[in-house]
Amino acid sequence: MNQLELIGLVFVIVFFGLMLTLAILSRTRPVRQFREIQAFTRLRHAVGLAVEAGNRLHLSIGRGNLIGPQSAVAFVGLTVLDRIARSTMVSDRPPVVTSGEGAISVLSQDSLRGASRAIGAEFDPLRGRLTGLTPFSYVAGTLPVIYDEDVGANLFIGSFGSELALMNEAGERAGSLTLAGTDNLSGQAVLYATAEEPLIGEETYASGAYLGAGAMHIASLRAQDISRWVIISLILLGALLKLIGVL
Amino acid sequence: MGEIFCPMCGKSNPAESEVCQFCQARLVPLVFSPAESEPPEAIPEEMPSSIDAAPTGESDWLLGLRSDEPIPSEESLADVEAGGLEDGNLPSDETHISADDVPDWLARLPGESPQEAEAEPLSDWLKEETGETEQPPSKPVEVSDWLSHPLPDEGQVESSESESELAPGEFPSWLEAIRPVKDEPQTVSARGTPERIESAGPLAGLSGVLPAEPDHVRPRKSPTYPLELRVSANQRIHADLLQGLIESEGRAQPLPQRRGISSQHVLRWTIACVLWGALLWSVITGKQEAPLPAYTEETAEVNRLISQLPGEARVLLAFDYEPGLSAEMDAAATAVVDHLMLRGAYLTLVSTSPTGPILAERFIMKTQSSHHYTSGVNYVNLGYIPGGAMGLLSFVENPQRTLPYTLDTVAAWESEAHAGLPALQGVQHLNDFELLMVIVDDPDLARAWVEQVQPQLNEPDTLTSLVMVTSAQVEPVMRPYFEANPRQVHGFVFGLRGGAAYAQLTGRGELPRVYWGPYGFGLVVAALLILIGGLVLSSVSLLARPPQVKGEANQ
Amino acid sequence: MKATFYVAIAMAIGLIVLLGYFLHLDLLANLRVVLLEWAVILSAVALLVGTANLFYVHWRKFTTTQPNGFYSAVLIISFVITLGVVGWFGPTHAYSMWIFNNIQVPIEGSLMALLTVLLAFAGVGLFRRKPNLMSIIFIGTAVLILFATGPLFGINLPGISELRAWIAQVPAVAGARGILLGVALGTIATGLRVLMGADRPYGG
Repeated sequence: MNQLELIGLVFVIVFFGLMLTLAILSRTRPVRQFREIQAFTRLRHAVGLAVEAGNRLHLSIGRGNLIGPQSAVAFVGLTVLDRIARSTMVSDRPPVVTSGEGAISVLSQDSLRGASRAIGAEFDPLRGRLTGLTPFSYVAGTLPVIYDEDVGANLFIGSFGSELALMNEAGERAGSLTLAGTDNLSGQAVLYATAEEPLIGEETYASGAYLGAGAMHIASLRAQDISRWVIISLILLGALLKLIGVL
Repeated sequence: MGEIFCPMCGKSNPAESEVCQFCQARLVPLVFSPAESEPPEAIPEEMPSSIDAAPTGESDWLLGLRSDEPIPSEESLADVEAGGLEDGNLPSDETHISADDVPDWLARLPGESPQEAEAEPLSDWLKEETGETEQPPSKPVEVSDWLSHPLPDEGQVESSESESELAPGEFPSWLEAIRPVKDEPQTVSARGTPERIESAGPLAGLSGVLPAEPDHVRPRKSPTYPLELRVSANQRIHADLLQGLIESEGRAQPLPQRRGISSQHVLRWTIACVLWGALLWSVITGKQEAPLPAYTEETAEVNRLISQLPGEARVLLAFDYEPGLSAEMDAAATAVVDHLMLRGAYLTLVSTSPTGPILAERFIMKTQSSHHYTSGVNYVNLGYIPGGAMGLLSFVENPQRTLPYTLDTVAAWESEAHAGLPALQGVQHLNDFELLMVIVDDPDLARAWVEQVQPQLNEPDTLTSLVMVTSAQVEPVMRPYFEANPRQVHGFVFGLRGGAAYAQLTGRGELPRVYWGPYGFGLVVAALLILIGGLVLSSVSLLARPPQVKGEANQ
Repeated sequence: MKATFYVAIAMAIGLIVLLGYFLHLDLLANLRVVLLEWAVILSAVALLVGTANLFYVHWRKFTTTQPNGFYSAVLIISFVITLGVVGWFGPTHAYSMWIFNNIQVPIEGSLMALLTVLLAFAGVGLFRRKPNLMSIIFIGTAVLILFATGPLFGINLPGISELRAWIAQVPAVAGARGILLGVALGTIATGLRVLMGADRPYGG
């Protein structure tokens, strides 16, 4: 094991320990409230409105590969799907999930099936679908869902590139709320300009904590906050040391 | 003329009447007489409320009851009085009661002559009853006191004018004693509920009497309730709303009317027309030729590395971009791949994108046709690596097992049974290639290549270099890999600008030269559109704000 | 019971792969290679499953006469023809290349061109939608890079190329690095949650 691998392993173990400690502490101490993220506030409102107004929620999980670095944001999308599916499955217009990767589409169907089973609703496997295998074909297959299936709110949480702008534009034209978050830098750049409620950087990964997915989500978000400040401190310290000639 | 009062309703009737004119009760008791065989008459519809209501006519058996036979002996009557009947025992008198043996008391029942009844002596119990009555014997009584003085019917007593002339009937003393006073208020039971006062029969006027029929089996009219609801105005509004919602459910909604052309549509079309018009004009007229840009350090490194390749070098070329960005990527990579082919390098094509292998074939056919590279000879297309980064790792660790065949299903690698294709001669591992070139449009994919390939390239005695031709959007992410020490990526060509710069370096590559002029013109037009359009729109929206909002903003 | 079994498998395999990456033990390394190969195979199979799902969705849409079912019919016909041609003649045959060169590439290129117009439109309306300092910086940077990247009608404004290079190499890289660090932290947190069984995007 070389130096870099050792540092990596230590970091993972420390992060893991931090998550566990914070999760255990949160049971005894009140958890500090996170800052408000407007996107999640509007999302909660949109979920309730979708059920009452008879609209449908559309969640798109992107085209991230499950066995690559984009798998994390895909899992975040699946967590969000699980949370909103349990809330909206009872309506006569259950949510529809689109994705641009085969394994993600299978998992999205699985999540929908689990939510249906939990509330005793009927499961329609066509609610979770693969719409395209390339970025633009994925967009081209998703646009009809936004326009034709009476969607009240669009959630784009996953790995998207700059093609995300086309979907945001479609959502705006259809008069539905668009909430988007991606791990891709190009995608984040375009969604800042085109989405109503963009999630920049780590905000996408905070979805679980803000939607009440569990104590471990909150603990991991707090661990991320702590780690971020540690890294910032190390960077500044390293820059300072480099500046004064020590490093 | 004599009058006879009906024992049931108490009304006056002529003396000769046998039945009451009002309630059809018998005024004259029936005496059994076998000789009389008149058929029985039909029972009238309206039966008086008396248990002793008698038909208007006389039946044989009733007629036969009328006789002058003395009443039964006092002994038998005494037995009865003593409670013989209470015990359920019949009187001990075994005298068969026949028509001739009608007892006196029965004979004294209203018959043909009321005087005859008077002549007979009354039994003791009847005497007592007669004696206790306080009613004056105002009339001759053909029947017992309690029979001859029935309780008056409430409805009939007060409604008829002639009733005021009627004398009240005589009641036995014992009955009179328990009879309630007329104006006595309604008694209330111990529970506080008003007691029921019997209105018919011998117990009429008494309260607390158990009804003959229980209430729950008596047919009675169900209570009626008013049909009109009291609905407030707010409730009416809510009810109408709910009704509207229910009625609209399942009803086809009219399609929303297409809105007219809005300002947003106009703006979109304006921007599109300006952009496309500018590009078309530039391409068609060719008047926007511009000098190619100067090369940068990272571009120069790529040029140096390719120039230093030996003849017939083995180069791994990854086509990892999407068809949508093929215009930019083809223009960026044309001069570079052209340089490679000029050096006579053998190319091995791979891709982690499903459309990559086809894009690679298209690229070579479209942009490098002048080199006449042949598949299977000058280059090998190994096809698609599934699994993204993990598939890439698998390919890096063992390329022969990951992609054993070419796109044309020909065995590609050298083995004991097969010589292998020329492009892969002597290649067993990734670092057997002299150069790895990745043509990629996605920053994440570019990073994946670097991260998976670097461990292999960092091995000692490895001379393999890694260079990338990327889209312009990748530059901010990948530049640090070039500026790192040691470099993880040895050279970059960023976007069309880098491709044009490379074309200037090599003096070859028509495609970036053709694109460069219109590309630059389009960039300038887009920048001006955003700048001017943004300023105009912002000014309009600021001016259109209502004054009070402005005042609030200034506070 | 089922859920516990799935969680146990996920945790075990995740742990093996993670440790195999850091610890260079032969057993772990071999297991890791095998598991990754299985993952690659499953990924390829999932691609086929997704394609079948895509076909079935549009088939249902067409046969149940839903809105815009005509386009689903076009997709189905195109799918069958492409599968037939490429499967019969091979992916590098002239017919297959014709389909790719004359249908797929132009369509995706058109969508990219549409994206250009949309981004320009979004840039024009950005300050009106979000009137704040960040929008001004965003638009200013975008305009500067656009001017500096192209030839600018052959006009060589002094310092503009250097400014563009500085923006691309310093603030842009710094910002990208910062965002990537945050994304990396989120990725680690998500991965560890899946490893611990706190996040279960599997098993329904």
